[in-house]
Amino acid sequence: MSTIKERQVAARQQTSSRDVEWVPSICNFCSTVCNVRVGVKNVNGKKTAVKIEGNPNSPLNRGKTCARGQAGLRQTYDEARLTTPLIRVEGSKRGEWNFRPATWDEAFGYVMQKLQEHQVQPWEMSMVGGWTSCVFYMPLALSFVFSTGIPNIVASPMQQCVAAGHLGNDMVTGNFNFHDEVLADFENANYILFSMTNSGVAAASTSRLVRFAEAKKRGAKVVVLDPRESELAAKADEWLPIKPGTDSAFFLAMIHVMLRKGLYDKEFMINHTNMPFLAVEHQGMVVPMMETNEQGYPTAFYVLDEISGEVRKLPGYSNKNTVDVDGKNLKPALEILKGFEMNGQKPKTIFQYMMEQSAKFTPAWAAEETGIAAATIERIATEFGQTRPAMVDPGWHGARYDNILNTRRLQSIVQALVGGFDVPGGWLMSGEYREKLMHFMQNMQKGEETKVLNLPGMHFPLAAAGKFFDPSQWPHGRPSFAMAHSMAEKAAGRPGVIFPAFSDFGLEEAVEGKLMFKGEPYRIKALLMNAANPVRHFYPESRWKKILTHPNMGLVVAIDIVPSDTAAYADVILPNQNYIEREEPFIYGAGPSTDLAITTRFSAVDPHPETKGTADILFSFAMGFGALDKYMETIASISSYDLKDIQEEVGKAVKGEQTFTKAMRNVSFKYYAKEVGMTPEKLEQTLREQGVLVIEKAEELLEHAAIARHLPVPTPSGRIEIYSLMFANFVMQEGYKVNWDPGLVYFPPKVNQERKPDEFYFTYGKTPTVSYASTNSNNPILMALSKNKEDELMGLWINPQKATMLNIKTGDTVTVENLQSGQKAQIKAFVTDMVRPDTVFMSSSFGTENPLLKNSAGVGTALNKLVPYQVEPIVSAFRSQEFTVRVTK
Amino acid sequence: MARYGMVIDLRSCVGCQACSAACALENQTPYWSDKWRTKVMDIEKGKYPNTSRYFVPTICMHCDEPACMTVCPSKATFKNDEGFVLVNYDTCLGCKACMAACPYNARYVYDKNDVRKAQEVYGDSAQHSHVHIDKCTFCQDRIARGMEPACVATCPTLSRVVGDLDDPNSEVAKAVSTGLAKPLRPDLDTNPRVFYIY
Amino acid sequence: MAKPMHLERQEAYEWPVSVYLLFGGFGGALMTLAFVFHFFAATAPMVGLSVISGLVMFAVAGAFLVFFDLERPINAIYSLNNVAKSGISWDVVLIALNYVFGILFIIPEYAELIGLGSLGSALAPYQVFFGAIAAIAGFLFPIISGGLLAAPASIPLWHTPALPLLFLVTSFALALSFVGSIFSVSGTVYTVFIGGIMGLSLLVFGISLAYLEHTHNGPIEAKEGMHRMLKKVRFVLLYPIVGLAFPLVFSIYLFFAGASFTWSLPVLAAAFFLGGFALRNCVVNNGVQIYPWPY
Repeated sequence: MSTIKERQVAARQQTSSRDVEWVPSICNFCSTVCNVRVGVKNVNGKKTAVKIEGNPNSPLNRGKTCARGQAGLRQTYDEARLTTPLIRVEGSKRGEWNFRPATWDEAFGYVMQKLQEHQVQPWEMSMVGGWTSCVFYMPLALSFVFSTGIPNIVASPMQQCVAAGHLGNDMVTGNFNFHDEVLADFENANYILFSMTNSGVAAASTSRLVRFAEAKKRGAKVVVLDPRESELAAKADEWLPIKPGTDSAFFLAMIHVMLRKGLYDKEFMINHTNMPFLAVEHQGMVVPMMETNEQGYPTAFYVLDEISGEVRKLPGYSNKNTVDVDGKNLKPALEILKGFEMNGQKPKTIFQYMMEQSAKFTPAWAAEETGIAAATIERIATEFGQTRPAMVDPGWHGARYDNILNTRRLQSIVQALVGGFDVPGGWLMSGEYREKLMHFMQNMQKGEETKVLNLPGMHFPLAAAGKFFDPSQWPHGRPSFAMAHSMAEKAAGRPGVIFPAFSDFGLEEAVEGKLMFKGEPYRIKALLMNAANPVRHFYPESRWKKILTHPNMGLVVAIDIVPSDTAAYADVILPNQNYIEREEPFIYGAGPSTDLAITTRFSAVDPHPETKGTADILFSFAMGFGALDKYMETIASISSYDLKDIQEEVGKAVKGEQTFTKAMRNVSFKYYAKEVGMTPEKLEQTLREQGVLVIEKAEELLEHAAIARHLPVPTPSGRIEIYSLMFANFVMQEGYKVNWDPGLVYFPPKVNQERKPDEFYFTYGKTPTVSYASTNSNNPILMALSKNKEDELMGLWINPQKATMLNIKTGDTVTVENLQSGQKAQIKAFVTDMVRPDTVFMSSSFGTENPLLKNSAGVGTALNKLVPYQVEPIVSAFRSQEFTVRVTK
Repeated sequence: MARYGMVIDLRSCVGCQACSAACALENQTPYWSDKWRTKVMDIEKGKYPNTSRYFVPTICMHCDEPACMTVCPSKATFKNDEGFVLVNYDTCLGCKACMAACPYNARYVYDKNDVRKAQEVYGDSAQHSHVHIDKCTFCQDRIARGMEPACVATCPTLSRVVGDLDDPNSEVAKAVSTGLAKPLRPDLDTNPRVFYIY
Repeated sequence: MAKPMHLERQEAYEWPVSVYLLFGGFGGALMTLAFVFHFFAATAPMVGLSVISGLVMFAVAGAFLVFFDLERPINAIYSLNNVAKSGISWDVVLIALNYVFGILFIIPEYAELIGLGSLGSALAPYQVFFGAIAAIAGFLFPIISGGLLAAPASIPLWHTPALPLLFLVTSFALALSFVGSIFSVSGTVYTVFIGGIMGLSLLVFGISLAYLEHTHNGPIEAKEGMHRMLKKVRFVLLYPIVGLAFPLVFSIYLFFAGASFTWSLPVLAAAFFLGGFALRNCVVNNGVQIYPWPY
């Protein structure tokens, strides 16, 4: 027993979270968007945030947060916080930190004056958005450009991630923003296979990590393909150090084995995929027998009914193949006999074509490509096929190689082979996504259009990005510069980009005045950047520095919280409230939560008086451009919000009675209150108390709204597409290219295979402590945590077999030279057995330059010093690892 | 009274360091000097390709027979009613005998520089105003409020579980009694209350 | 990136602790010697000088501990809270006993000089008693303070009774050569000192061997600690050669050759001092700990 005195001592030792008020919020340190709560208390009369915890009510992160989530609150008190608008001092150059404080009116006035001075037309501007912009302000950002006639948005992480890798998965399942729409059900899976991912689970996406942890504790088998032993690979039962960029060969061999051994979910293949569809060969291509409407969308497919032996016609858009256009039941055949003829053609099923196409992708072949033993590949394919539920993780972060879309598509096909969608242990759709799908189906049945922002999966980018590509959608008749550049490239006989959605493709040319559209130069003269840091996020940094400092660039505006490397290149910096401080203009779906749930942020501490929310900044610009009415109309036209409500609330904001953020928030609360059957006040109170409101549990949703089983997916056919109709469409439009082969195909990474002894494959990845190239490296706690693992988190991983030969030791500064582009960077070596001898690895988290970021400036090496500008031809995804490097001491 | 203990499951830990961050903020530990009450070892073992990587969170074991307590000249180190090993910051000399005695390296000096920096960072809400030897308190202040320790509450891999070692139905007691969870260095007879599954 | 089973240097004790151990042990040995001198009818100055220099050494040791090692010296006032168990509390008690009884011990000798003759005669009957307490406290000091290092089971380089014993005998060798060298200033080298030093050197040699045996056949951490020590030129030169082999050989030579150089005792004292410091310093510095993680 302790003494009374000791009890008093213990009682005095209080922790930060004692006596706090918990305010619900959403973490803003990565796009996992965990539900958190901020502990606030009064320190000397000032509301101060002292602790963050995961929100225990969260169906997403289940009360947990990672190191970034924990440390995030220190951003609020970062010494470098931007607390007043800044205007570049006359005569100073972009890149120099030479600003004078200004009022908001001055800053807006300066922007308008510069736009006038440079005679900037609407199409000569581009927005540059970061993920925050995308996740939290999509309705405002899209409406802003639509109503002001700006056809350009460059957004990260599109070419880095969402458009890049995800789009491969999307071709199979019809999703779009995979990591916002799909949550892999690790906790119920018995076999989990990961490829090219560390960020998506272990480094660290908390909502995945909590589920993965359950799997590990339960003893699920984990296999990880990664050239280095990442945090995730460390948890694998089998770590397979695959040769970089060859993961698609591994998946092809898996498909080869699983198809031949019959290790697939036959019923799922027959009922919900396009495997039983009849197809013929035409000019060397497999083409499904189908009917289409004027827009090219399928209206019918054909299958052979196993019961009647007849060819039957299936509806063009449906989730199942067991009912034909006349409503009669059937059982489609996966394989049909040789010699079967129809209208003079000899069709086979897609399944049969896939069998043929996969014939050459034997484990022995894949072993040559991947460096993994054929027996291992065969065994893993067999184990995977025999275990239920087995799962391939959907992956996170695309880019890297020309073949990334193919790789992600193939892993989705493997997932399809085991029927792992919306089943326990499979890929579960988010509640919000499911809601959109159901809503979309209802509208379709009623013959009504669905508003752009409510479109599920691939329908959204097709509609939204499609607007940017279509000159006729804009009063000035110009598409986005990226599309204009793609058209110009194609016209010049060079490869363009089919779907340069929110891409920087052609930006440099447009700034330099080299981009021509309809015989006139298509220039970009002004950039409005919101929560974007392209100098770090895009490749290479030299390209963006050139763009930003080009004499033709008339105006650069940056909206930010702390001074990023890019902010130093702005003419005007507008200080933003951070996520601890601001209320959001909307209620949101709870990320990829499988429960249907809504959430929002509440202001935990008072924002600095001279900072503004993004909504207020955008509304001010819209007013400045004289487009306020149109802005409000556009918001209403692309979202569910009511125009009258918007006008009423925004009207009050115009009069100065409330902020624009508050105005939109009121509109949003009113809408959702009606949806959930509460008063707005009650909804506000509920969300303030719980942070998250669960409307329907995943289990209930899965009983009536599972994709494939109940709902068609947003692929062209509504089915899970093993054969990609979208890719087939690209072939028709653009001619054949291996990148958009609709079937099973392999193309190796385009890297030098005859490497010299000091020449390496190059790989990169994420650390658990700092988001991709993020200013959150300046967080003092995260920097301290990163520094105590400096070797592995900031170093260049190099195997001792090579390091010994090159006389390199851990801690030595080495020069890495890109042998393709000649780019060079210096970095400290980390000699480790945890990486392939032919490969080096570095993280994408460090190397910030802005000296105002005191904790992180000059620490570590920036990835985009080494990666050149090279993009693949479908979405202009960055081929950010497709080169070799030389390492010298 | 419950006999609190912790089980750390190394099977699921990915070394994300959320625990270290949570602890640093909850207890205002000197992250600026790379001092932590709990940190995560990142261990590499073996030759390529047979390489293994392990993550091992470290923390005060709150031993039933704490080696640090007997050597303390001022009895600043004591066990409170729950059995948590605590330091009385007011009477600690900073002689570091406890640091030398602890086999688990769970203690460090909250020195002058740290105290100054804490004032700078946390101002009037600073918890540490004097130099002392600092260590994990098992977040006894949170336990008193019915909450889990900060590191446990936040762990995204559910690698840390707390519970009553005397309650045979608790998860921790089950893990310990079945031998799944084991103490570190049992040979030193410190009888730790923290157990590891590995 | 940590390596499996990696060994790390302990982070608790730095060089001031070795100064404390050296001077404290030195002082303690002087107190004990003073009592011995008293019995063998040595001259009063010899006793008095031993006690006074012993107290000075304690002052040096205490000052180092308080000002260079304690992180919060002001709280030294709480250092007696755990006399039952804490080695540091014991050290403080021993130093206090040395001061109180050491002074009481020599007052009868010097009372006249400072005009306290009556006090001197009042204390005289108890002089032996005071001296004995001071002597015991002095004798215990190197053992208890050495025990501070020997206590932690997790640092096997320290965790052996041989270490406090080694501190004890090296302290006595230093103290004896120190007192001897002062008295050799007059030109006379007392053989008794040479003999004593030879005996102590033999003991130091023997216990050093025992300690080496402990580190050599002991746990991997102890072996690693000794390995690191032996890699330090400073250590190898100053302890095994200057502090151990040289005094042993030299004192044997002096003793059996009956040679007497006035410089021999100061040289021996210097050798013991350097050797004693190198020993303590390197032992403190190289206390290695193996991390107990399961990999």
